Amino acid sequence: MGFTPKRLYIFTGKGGVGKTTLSLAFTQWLREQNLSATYLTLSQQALSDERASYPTQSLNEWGNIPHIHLELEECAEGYISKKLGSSMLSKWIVKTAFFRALVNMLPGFGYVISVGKVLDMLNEDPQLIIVLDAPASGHALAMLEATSNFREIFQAGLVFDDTEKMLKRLYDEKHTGVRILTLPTSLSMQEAVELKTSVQKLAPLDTKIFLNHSLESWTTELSDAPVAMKEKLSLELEVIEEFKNDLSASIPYSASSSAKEIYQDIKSSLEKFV
Amino acid sequence: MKIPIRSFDIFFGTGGVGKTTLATARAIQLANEGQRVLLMTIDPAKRLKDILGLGDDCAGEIKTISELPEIGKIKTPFDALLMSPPKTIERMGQAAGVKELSQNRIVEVLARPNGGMNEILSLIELQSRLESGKYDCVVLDTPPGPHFLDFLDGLEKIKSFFDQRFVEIFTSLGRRAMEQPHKGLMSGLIDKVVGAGVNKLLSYLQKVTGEKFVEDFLAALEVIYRSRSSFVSGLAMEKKLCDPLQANWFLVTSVEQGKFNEAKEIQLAAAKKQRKEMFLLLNKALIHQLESWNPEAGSKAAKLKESLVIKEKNLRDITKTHFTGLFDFPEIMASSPTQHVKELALQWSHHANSN
Repeated sequence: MGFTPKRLYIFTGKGGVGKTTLSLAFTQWLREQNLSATYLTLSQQALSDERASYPTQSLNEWGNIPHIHLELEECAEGYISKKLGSSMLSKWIVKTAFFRALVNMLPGFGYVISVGKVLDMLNEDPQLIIVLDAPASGHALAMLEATSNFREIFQAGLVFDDTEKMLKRLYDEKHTGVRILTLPTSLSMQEAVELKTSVQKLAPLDTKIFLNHSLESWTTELSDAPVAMKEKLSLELEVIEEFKNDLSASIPYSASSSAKEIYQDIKSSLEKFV
Repeated sequence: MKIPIRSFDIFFGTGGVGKTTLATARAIQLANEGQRVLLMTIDPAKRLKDILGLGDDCAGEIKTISELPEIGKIKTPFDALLMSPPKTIERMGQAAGVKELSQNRIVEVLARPNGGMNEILSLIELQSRLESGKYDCVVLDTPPGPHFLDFLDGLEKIKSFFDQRFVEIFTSLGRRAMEQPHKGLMSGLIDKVVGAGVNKLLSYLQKVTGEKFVEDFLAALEVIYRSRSSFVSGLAMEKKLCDPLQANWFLVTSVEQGKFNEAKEIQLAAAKKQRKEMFLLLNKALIHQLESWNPEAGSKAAKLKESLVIKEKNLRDITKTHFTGLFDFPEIMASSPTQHVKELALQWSHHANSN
């Protein structure tokens, strides 16, 4: 193994760019390198909301990838229970209307709690690598920013000390990698670059941009395609040229439909996420 | 099918599908047909600012657009507003006569662009813009949420925040504030707050977070409560936005990013709001071009074609059961965003005026 993996990989990008597929594929790839990698999703939806973003279907298709789904309420309960030394009290607190309203109104608060839980898990198991299938772009930034926002809010006390500790690890470039996925359009690339700039303003994190569903490797097949398809390809090549300094790699478009086949199609590109 | 003109056009959809570009094109089409339009967008993409000729300093301020490069003069100049949460907070404070609202440290942090209050604040901003009576039609690009329905949930959040128990705490805080306007407003207050469980809860909170936070937090609650009329005004929007005679709902999805679950979920959520009518805008459609392609059977090219066609067909199929209508927007082969918007505006005009 010629590389030192990070402990936490945050996959982000706009909806539909292939976050779930690529983070699952990358987890699988890490496991094939004999690393103890786990795929992780967070539910930031209001407590007790039935709408979960949990990709059950995709997970079934991928079969044996270990996965963890963090529910905000459980994380909150665990945290408060640790701080107050009573799980009974903590159960009661997270069920109060006050607490729910607070978390609903201040989504950043929920992020701090869940990110704290993720860091705890990494701390408890020094071998563990977490691949986080994070919320869409703006919100991944909110997630990264939340901890420093709340550190500013608290200023002192137990939670403040905890956020300090969290920031030290979360914002360490050796610890955390941000992987931004984008589509081969100018607008989408532009936004990825803006996201990268914002992330780096926050902390000097190892942030890389990847172009997904790239038709570049299909150039030969597209040679007799209708004009519209060829133009699509040439626009894509223009975008790749324009942003070549920002792009870490392209992941080829996979024409397959099953998870196993898709994995084989893109496998050789996955190392670049390290 | 024609697209009716309503007081609101709301664009839903996960980011990156062309929601903002389609909304901007729609605003231009309506304005060119003589409607008085407000385009409200929350998208932070710089390129849109470029199309509209807006600088960074324009965030949160109304800017009237009468002419655009490549597109030319707009028949009825329209107003554009890029949401800026801190500006909204500032205006709310002024409207409620609570200038401390924007100065409160906690409120300030939360109102940052990624602070998490985007949905709620854009509803409030929308309501206050409507009260001016200046517009026939508001085109609203919903914020890019982790979930596209978060926008509508913003209303629920306001409701639950100001629910009965909260009102109790606030009332007691408010009374306290009236009695001692100049003294350390919140000191010792926690012990005096009535309401079952609340003081216990706050004292636990204090144990974990420290006294300073609880004080700041109560001060934030107090200013928010005193400005509650501004928050609650956002609630009036719910009825209007859910009424099919007042609002068009557009779910935007692009062929490359087709998400079937999205369509199903919005259907479920719409049903909860007693809402049935919804249009699907299918952006970057390619199927008509693909049909003329005949790669050799069994070749790699054939596999590529098939996978692209299946993706798009699946998307079209769901519209039969879940949507009032489907409108195609073909993939625009131009690299300039202004050219994109121009051609999409023509497409809108085609959809709006043909049967």
